[in-house]
Amino acid sequence: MMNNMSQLKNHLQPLPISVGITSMAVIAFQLVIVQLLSISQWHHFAYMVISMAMLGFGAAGTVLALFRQWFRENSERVLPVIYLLCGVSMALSGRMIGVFGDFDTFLLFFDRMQIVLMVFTYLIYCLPFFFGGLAITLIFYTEITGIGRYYFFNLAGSGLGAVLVVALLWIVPATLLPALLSFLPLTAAWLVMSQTSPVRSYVLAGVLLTIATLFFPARPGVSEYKDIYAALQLPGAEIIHEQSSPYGLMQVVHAPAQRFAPSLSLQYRGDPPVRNVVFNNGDYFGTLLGHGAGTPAGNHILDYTTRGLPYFLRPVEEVLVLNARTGNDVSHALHHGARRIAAVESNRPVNNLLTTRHPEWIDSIYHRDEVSLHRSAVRSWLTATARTDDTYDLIVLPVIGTFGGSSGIDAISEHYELTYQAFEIMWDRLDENGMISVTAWADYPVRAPLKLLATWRKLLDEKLAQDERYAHSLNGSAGEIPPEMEIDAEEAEEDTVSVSEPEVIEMDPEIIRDHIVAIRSWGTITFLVSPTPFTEDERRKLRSYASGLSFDPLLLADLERGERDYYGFVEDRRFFNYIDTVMAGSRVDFFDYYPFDVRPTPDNRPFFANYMSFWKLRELSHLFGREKLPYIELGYVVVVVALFQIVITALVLIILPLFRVGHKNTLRRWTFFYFAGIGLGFMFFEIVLIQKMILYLGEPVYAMAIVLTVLLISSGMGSFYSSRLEPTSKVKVVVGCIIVLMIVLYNAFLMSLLTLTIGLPAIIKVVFVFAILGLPAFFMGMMFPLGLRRLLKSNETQIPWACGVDSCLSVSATVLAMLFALEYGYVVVMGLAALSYGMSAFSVMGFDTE
Amino acid sequence: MKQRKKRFFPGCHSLIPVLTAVILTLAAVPVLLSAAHAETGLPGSGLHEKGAQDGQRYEQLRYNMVNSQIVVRGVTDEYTLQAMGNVPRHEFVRSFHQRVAYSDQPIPIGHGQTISQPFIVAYMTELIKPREGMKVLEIGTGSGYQAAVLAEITDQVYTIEIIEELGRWGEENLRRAGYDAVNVKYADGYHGWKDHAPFDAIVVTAAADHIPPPLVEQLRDGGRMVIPVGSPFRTQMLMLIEKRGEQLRTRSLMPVRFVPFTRQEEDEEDPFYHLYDDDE
Repeated sequence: MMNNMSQLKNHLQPLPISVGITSMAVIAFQLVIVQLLSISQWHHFAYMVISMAMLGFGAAGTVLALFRQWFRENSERVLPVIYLLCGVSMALSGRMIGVFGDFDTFLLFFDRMQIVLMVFTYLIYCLPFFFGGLAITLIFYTEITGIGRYYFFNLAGSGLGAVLVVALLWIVPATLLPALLSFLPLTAAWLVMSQTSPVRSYVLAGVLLTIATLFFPARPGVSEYKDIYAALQLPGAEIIHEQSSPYGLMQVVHAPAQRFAPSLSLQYRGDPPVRNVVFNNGDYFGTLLGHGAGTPAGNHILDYTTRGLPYFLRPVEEVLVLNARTGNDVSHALHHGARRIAAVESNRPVNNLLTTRHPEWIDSIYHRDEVSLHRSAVRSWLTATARTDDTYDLIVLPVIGTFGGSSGIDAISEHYELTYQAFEIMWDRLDENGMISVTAWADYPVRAPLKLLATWRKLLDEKLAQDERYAHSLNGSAGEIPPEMEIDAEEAEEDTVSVSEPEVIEMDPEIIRDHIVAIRSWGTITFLVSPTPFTEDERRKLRSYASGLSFDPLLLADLERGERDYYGFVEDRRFFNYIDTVMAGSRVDFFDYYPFDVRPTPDNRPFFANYMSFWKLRELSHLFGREKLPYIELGYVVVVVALFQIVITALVLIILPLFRVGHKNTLRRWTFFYFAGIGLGFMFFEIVLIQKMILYLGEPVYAMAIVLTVLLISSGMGSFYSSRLEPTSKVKVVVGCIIVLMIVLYNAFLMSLLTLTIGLPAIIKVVFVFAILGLPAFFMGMMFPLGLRRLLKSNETQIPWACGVDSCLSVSATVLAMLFALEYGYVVVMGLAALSYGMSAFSVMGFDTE
Repeated sequence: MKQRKKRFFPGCHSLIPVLTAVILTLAAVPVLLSAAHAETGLPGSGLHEKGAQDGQRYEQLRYNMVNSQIVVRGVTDEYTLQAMGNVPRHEFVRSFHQRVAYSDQPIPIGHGQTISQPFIVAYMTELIKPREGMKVLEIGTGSGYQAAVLAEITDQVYTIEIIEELGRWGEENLRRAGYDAVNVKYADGYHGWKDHAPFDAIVVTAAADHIPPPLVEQLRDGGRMVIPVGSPFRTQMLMLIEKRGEQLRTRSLMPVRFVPFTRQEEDEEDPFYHLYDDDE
């Protein structure tokens, strides 16, 4: 039996396969941890933890550099132990995290003990990455002559891991996955251990331990400040449905005290409907309202909120509901007799729940003849259907923000449905009398309404400038648009910094006021924009609707003095000043003056919910006090904190080995530049491509898995091919230059190419993605093994250090990319990718003289 | 191959140092945690013989709290200030948070709830203008602190908590601190307390995304209702609802004049402040 096993092992090429399966496990584990942390905390924290934990790879390179000789001499004995530790630490991570109490992000800036718990969380999650990285780097180091092949297994394994986890998340609860995945490194330990190794019994013990954790999985402790926690505190609350998937953990909560009445009018005298609520990863996703009637007057419950406004101004027959979630706006439109309703929603589990498993939970409104449900991301659907002739009387977007302010927890989420370009497409889909309706929760200091208005004003400036009715109303252009100011696709891609430039087209503010109206309740503001000016009769209807419900008009062409806070007084009068300035005043100065970033959101920087700017942090600290910043924009602050943590830790990990192996009289800096460039460049490129492909494929979960898989496997193939090449300077420079050229070309033309083909069938689009991503990734995969092989000839001692530099910079790049994208947009991040690879290519000259 | 004689860690022949470092780091965590929990040198450290001394210290802390956190931010109502100066706030927090009971911050009390920072409690109290003999309803007992502050001013305080476990703890706190007159009920605050309606004032400390119609109905004509919008760990603002006959008006009260969310010192230079000022 033993002999058979031994033969099988020899036949399997144990080392390369151990690298492949461990890489697969580590990447899958990373994605599972993101999911688990999103359930217990929220995705910002997941982002911060995972970035720090991934530095375990960098730490592995550092440890190997420090104890290089010992590891080399004992590699056969130590390798199975490292794989064993990787597997065991992976399986036990869930159990270990809660040992000293649960960490809570919301308390991080309040309770110092949370910092200790946070560091402990980092350490626990860091261990599997550290041991996995140590094993792989050790194999790279000891088998450096075959590095192309091993690196191929490393990348291909990682690529498959991304696919594996998406598949597993559909069938296995996320809490079980760490233990399940840990079998992979344990298998690797079995593959690489010798027959007589005393490690065998330990591996067996590890397997038994892992099996035990499968039977007793640890459930993540949910933060007390998550929506679902509050819901479950209600008397009689229970989870009546639960489903885990790559989209997150969907849970449906029933509670007798769970009422649906968001920012309800004070004039409402009935009982709000009690309904079940859907949560995704513990965050509120939507209420299962169903038909929504049952109010004392037989009206829809949303008619007692500001969201009812559009239906009282103009006839609405054809409605487009974007991000339909649980269908509340669909129900609202049905109530008002809309004869055609298109709903767009990308969350598959929720769509399946409401159309197939429990349609009765929403009174089967998705099965009504008037309703068609499109299962896609909003922006992809809008772009893909842009050429159709369908127009709508009303386009409804989801409510922006949350009750009481979101504290910026959504700051790093992309909102492609709220960009200037998205509104451009929506505008073109409006009927002549059509309207776009957006409702925002009140926030303080005011941010979301200002950003929305800034985006709409830019839209109106540019759309109405092309309208013959207003040819005479352009600022200083006497009705003609100079050719250099015409709006084209290129400008659409640019950052809207151009808005602040004085030569921007500006319509007469009086005309702008005719096209936007808004009403305000104590909690929400609903804005409407239309290509057709709102008439006097419609303004009269608006006033009547508002006063009947104790709402105030906020934006109206003929607004009278004192009219807009008759029912709802606002103590901070600057609220109105700022709204008016963005609508009709000097935006140029305002954007500079205002301490938050409320510039229009372009596709290039689609972070509608981020209002912070790195350059204004000092001013904000001065205005509000540094300790208050997390209370205003926690999400952004977390990203900045993550950046500092990672940069400091990465620097320590990179510098530490230099004390061991010497840092004088060598040309080590060239090694640093070469591998730093590769680490940074690859991650910058990957992050931008994931974003573009999410937009293109319309399925965030699958887009991410496809991009990761294609990039990693293609890079692996490039690595494999590089074994045939001599690692000369010329080869490296040529490969580096090809990569730079391709990134530059992609930066300029990829979006146009994607827009052209976005309407194609899904399968063709996937093939297209393989083609366009595979090529640059193939070349990118060559740089790392070529560099290591060159080091083998010139300075073999630097190999583990070079691996550590590559890992540390890769991890740092994820946070850097996010900050650059928030500040300057993805175009700049892509430019940085090109610069990074350029740096690698340039450093070859110094590198090869070493 | 040439062996290096010099080692970073002399005598290192195995993985032992690395593993030791990992184990020591993990082992250090409980120590750090217990250190974080320690309450050395601060009031509330449980030293019984120091009871009287602690009493004086708490009194001093309350005095400082009223002056440095509440008065300076503009709360002037004498009733409110006196109540804030009397209520032993440290009796209304969990024992391990007693050392920060009088700090200028909200404090978690479990169940996702918090006791608001002292200024917010004072500001909310001042807004409803409580006076002796007034009937006040509080929705969301929590720790019982707000009810205790109100009970310092009037004998007719009614408070409702939906989370029974939390409500019982809040009631215990109230009784222990001597506020026996406060009426506590464990129920869904949405329905108010019809048997004792109408109320002169209602304080909703656990805000929902809607204002319950029954509460509006149970508010006496001319009464005031105050609701904090947003959790204490986010940007918090207050909403005041005034009832005049059938008409209801709201006031969004940003605590800009009092807490650090202010740009007042720069108002003179604010180029957008007076441009479209429609102040009456």
